[in-house]
Amino acid sequence: MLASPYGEVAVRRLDWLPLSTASPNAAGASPTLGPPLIIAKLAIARLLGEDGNYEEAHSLVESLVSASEPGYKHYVLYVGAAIQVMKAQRNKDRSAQQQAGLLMKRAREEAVAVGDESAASAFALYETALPLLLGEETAKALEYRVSGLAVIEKVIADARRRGEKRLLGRASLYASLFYVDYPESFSGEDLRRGIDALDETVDLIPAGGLSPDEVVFARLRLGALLYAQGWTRLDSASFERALREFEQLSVMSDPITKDQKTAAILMTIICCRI
Amino acid sequence: MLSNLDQLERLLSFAASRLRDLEDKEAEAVGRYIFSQTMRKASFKRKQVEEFVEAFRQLEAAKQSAEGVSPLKAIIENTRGDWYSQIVSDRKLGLDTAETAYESAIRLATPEAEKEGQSWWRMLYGKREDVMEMMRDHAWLQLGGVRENQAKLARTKSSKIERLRASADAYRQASQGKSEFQQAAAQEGLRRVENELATLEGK
Repeated sequence: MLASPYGEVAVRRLDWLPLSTASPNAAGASPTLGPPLIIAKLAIARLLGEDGNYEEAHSLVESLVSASEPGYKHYVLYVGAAIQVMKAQRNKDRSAQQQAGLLMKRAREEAVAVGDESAASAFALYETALPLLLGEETAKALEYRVSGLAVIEKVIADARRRGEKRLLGRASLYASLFYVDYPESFSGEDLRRGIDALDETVDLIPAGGLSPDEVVFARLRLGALLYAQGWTRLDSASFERALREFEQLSVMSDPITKDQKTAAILMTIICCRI
Repeated sequence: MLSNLDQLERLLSFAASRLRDLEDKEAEAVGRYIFSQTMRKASFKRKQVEEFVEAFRQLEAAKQSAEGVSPLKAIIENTRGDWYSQIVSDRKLGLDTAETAYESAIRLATPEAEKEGQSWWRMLYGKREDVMEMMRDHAWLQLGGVRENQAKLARTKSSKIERLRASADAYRQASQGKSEFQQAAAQEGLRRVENELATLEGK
C-alpha cells in the first residue's frame, strides 16, 4: 500500500479534498505531494483524525511541520487545519475552529512563499469558506460575504486560467453559497449568479473535484435555486430544469442519503404541480 | 409549465411507487397530499370518477401518514373539510364528515403547532409564519357554512335552530380573523343565519 509509485499510496490530492472528509481515495492519489514517507504520515494523521484521535493526529502533524522540507510544509499545515476542522465539526469546539483558521492561513502563506500557486488558491478558498462551513456567527456579516466573494472570484479566475477543473468546481460550489445564503440582501441577480456558479460546478462533476455527497448537495441546491428562480421570474424553463434535476436525483441510489432522496422526491412532486 | 393532464401523467408515473417507499411518514403525507390535489384537479378536467375517488383515497392516506404531526394534520383536515363539504351524492354524510374535519383542524392548528420544527410540511407554504392561524381562521369560517347547510337538511324545527345557533357561533369566531375578507364573509354569514333564526324563532 505504501510502496511507490505514489499513485499506489492511499492519499487523495489534498487541495480539493473536502476538509471534513478524511477517507483516503486511491483513485485521487497524486505524485506531487512529496516524499512517500510524508504522504504516508499525512494519510495516517487524517485517518487518526477521522477516528477522533485528534491529539495523536495533531502530534504527528506537528512533528512533520518542523521536519518537512520547505516544499511540502504547506501541505502538512493544511492537513493540520483539516484535522482541526474535523474536531470543530464533531465536538463544536471553538478553539479548534480558531486553530483551523490559523493553520489554514499559515498553509496559504507557506504555499505563496514556495510558489505553489495551485495550493495557495485552494487554501485561500478554504480559509475564506471556513467560517461559513463551520457555521460561525461571523459568517452572517455582510462584510464577510463581500470580502469572501472577492477571494473566491479570484480563486475561480486563477483556476480557470490554469485549467484546474477540480478546484474550479469546488470554488464555484462555495461561490454559490456566498451568492445566495444571505436572505437579508438576497436579490434576483444573486440568484442568477448562484445558479451560474452551480451550473459550472455540475458541469465539472466529471472532473472529480467533489466528493460524492457534495455532488448530491450541489445538484439538490441547483434544483432548489432553479425552483426559486422559477417563482421569481415566473419562468417555466427554470421550473422544468429544476424538475429534471430533482427527478434524476430521486432515482439515484448511492451516495444520496435518505433525507436528500426524500427531498428530491417531494420537490419533484411539487414541481409537477406547478 | 405543464398542462394539468401532463402533470397528472407525470405524477402518476413518478409518485405512486416512490411515495410507498418513503420511510419518513411526514414526507409521505406531504407527497400524498400534493398528489391528491393534482389528481382531483385532473379528474374534473377529464371527468373521471375513478380519479376523483382515488384523489380522496390519497388524501385519506395522507391523513394517516400525518399522524403525530399536528400542523400537517391540521392542513389535511382543513382540505378534507373543503372536499367533503362539496359532496352531493350523500349530502348529510359529506357535511357531517366535513364538520368533524374542520373541528379537528381548529383543534390542531394551534400557535404551538406552528413552531413544530422546520420540517417537510413547511414545503407546502414556504416561509409563511402564520400558516396555523390561516388554517384556523379558514376552518372557523367554513365550519359556519357547513353547519348552516346542515340546518337546511334538518327535518325538525328544533334541530334546525340548534344547527343555526352552532353556525352563528362559528361565524362569530371566524369574524375575529385577521383578514378583512374573512371578517366580511363571516359577518355576512352571521347576518344570514341570524335572519333565519329570527324567522324560525318568531313563528
